[in-house]
Amino acid sequence: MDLLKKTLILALIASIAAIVVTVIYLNTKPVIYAHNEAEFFRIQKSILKGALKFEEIIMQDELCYMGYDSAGRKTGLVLPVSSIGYGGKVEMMIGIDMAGIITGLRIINQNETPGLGSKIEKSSFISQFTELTEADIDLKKENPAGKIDAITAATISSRTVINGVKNGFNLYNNCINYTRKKEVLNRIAAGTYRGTGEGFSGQIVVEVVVAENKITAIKIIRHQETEQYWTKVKSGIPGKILKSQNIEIDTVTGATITSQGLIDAIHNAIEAGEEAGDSPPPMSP
Amino acid sequence: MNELNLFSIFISGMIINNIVLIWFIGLCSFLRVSVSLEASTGMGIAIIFVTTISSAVSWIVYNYLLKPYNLEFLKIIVFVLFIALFIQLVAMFIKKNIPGLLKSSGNYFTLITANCVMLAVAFLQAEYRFNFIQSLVFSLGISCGFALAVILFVSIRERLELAPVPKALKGYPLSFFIAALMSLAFMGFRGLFGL
Amino acid sequence: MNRFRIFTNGLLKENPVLVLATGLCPLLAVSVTAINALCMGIATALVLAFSSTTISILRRLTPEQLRLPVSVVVISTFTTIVDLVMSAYFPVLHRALGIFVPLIAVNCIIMNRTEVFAYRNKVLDSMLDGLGMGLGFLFIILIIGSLREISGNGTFFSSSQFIGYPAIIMVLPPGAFIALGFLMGLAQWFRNRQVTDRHE
Repeated sequence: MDLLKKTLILALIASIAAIVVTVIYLNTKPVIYAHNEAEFFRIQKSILKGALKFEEIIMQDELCYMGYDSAGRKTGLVLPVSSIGYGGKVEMMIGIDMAGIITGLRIINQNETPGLGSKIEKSSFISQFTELTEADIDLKKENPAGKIDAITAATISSRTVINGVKNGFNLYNNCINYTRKKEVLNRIAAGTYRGTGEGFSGQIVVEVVVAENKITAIKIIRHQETEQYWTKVKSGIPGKILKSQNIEIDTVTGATITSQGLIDAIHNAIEAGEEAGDSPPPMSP
Repeated sequence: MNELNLFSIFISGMIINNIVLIWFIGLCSFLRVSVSLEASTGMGIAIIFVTTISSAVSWIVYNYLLKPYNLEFLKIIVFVLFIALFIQLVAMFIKKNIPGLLKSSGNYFTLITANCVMLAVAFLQAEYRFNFIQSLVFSLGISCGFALAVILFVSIRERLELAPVPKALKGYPLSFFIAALMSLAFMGFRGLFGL
Repeated sequence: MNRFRIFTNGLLKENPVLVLATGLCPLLAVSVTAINALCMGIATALVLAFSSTTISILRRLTPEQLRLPVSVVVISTFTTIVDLVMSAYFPVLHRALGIFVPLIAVNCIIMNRTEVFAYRNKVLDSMLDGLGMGLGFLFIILIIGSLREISGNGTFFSSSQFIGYPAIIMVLPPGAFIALGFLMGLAQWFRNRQVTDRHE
């Protein structure tokens, strides 16, 4: 009886503790979340001045943010990048406008030597990057075309930031291409367009129907692929494209070449639509 | 951290991010080890053993009990409870079977206060999102680093027993200065293997 | 002991850091800047005061065998509460203190005090003891934090730099040990003098 009593007492105390903690957790969770969101937004705004709204763009394994001003025009991209420094990963966010000029840079996370490499966080170092283009990004002492002064006795950390910014420009180019492809559909006039792609066993021909800036149908005209692979690809790819309205999609696992052939054919058709977008539609459905 | 290979995780835990000299965790145990090298080595080995096992338990508890039910916010309470229980069991076991190890009460206290290290390992493996093998290797590295620091510390202190130290600095102040120099030395490992 | 004595005990006579040499882990790790030290000191003092009070309230319910699990549950509960509240309302500080907020749960001072005092004394006494010890800890961590920030960074409470070439080592791990070593040496010197004075 004594053991039971002891266990009950402990269980009671533990339960009360758990309840109290849970209540406090549920109350603080939204506060924490809201704060993180606000903080992130604040950082984004400080990097890309003039932008009021940010849209997250998720590519295959990369991420960037498109900034829009109050009129809905694109002002630039905010790019999270990282590079390996003296003491580990250095995470930063770079803002680059639509003309390829850096608008801002912030070091989010670094583990460099305190007092030396950690100075990369200071505005005296970071402000050097504003208004520069990709060609200017290099240390003055390593490249005559470079415009960045390294921090005294912290060359490695300084170089880390340079590398990060260069990664940023790569990401920038990828993002711009990606969004451009996504927006292609907005520029195609309604109509049916044919395209060809090289599959595994021969050509794949498709017809893509565009109406009101949307892909409404994808018809397979001709293909010579092996049945086994074709079924996989046919059931996956056209459906996904119709659903996401995005022609940049992944190939189907286990049927890469056939997938790519179909995707290329669809891209081909869309390109024909792009060209036709500048002149009256060539074919009517 | 969890993208590093196992060797890097081990070295990082043992030397580059030495838990006592760089992270200041486990100091209570560290400063109270006995002056004798043999007892301290035994204690160090015991701590390696206990920490590695407790980290395995913490990993299982975190990944199979807390995370699936979104109860991570309870991790402080749960970890501390499990570790306290575990240490009690181990201490009882050692007392019964290897009585020589806990001869002086100082060493008993050392084992109990090593819960700092175990708790830190439990939190870090949750934060770094290690898989099971990685967390084992990590805790092995951390505890070996602790044992290494203890052994070095005791060896140095042994030799300073007869040194003419000013009266005010005898005891704890001297221990801290030894630790300061050791910490300085260990800081030199930064950048080893690109870590 | 009268109530006032209980409270001031933790400040000087039995100061947890200088005399009992406990609670060192967070002391050294967090004291890189004065503001971090202040917050850590306050967080620890709060957990200590609340835990001592609660455990004293529960002391008649907890037989010998349950003492350890109950202390553990109570202390880690209050630590979790402080952790959650800090991350919601003081997120920058919370990130600066990092892993050391959860580690308050195994802070030697708290575990020690609850075992030695709170279980055996009345509620108000335990609360005063907890507060006193907590403030004693806060006092020391603030001194060390300020010392390290001024000598290692040339600033004070994140002010603008007023020392041109600070000794960076003071904000690095060895500096923590050095600062504490000197402080303890000083305390020991005072105590030795008190002893010799009393003998004369």
